[in-house]
Amino acid sequence: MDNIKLENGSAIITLNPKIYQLEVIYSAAYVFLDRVYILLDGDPEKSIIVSIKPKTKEDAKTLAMEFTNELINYADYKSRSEDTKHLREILLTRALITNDPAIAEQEEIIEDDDDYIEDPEGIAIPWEDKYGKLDKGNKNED
Amino acid sequence: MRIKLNRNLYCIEAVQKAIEDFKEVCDCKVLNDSIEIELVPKENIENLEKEFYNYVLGLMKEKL
Repeated sequence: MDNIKLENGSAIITLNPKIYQLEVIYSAAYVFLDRVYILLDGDPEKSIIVSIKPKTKEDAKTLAMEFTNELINYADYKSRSEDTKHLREILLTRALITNDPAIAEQEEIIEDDDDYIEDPEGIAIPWEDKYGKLDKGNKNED
Repeated sequence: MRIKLNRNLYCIEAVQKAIEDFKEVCDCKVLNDSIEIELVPKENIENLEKEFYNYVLGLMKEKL
């Protein structure tokens, strides 16, 4: 892999910040803090250099490759998280409304009003308007 | 020993907090705006500078 180089027992990874955002790099780095020493350098606009030095006798290149896997993992997580952000907000709002009796009651009234205006069963239409006026014959029978 | 942290990637507040937390093991000070830090160990600690920049990164996690 061209973007991973080995230097004095450290692996130097060069990353494109347009592919891996800075937050993604930080997130992946935190996962490895207990196993490696991580130093970040470079230009956040052009390329970010991640230096990885194992704390134990682990292989630096293997750790670097694990790190890049973690980058993909977090990049995917971030992308999905952004895609479903609106949905999560709706669900959270809904959950909060459900737990607030005042708002829930208000919403119920609004919902009731909506039904009245919509009249899905057609019960708001007067009988005469719907079936016409009663004929004289029927009146005499009454 | 001196270490240099990229100011575009490391936050100065985290560095200052790390300096505060490392007080017992070393004397540290920020030398300039490009976050160059001088660490003077009070005792022999292996990989002190590496532990320092890992610690700074860890502190930034709490902030983000």
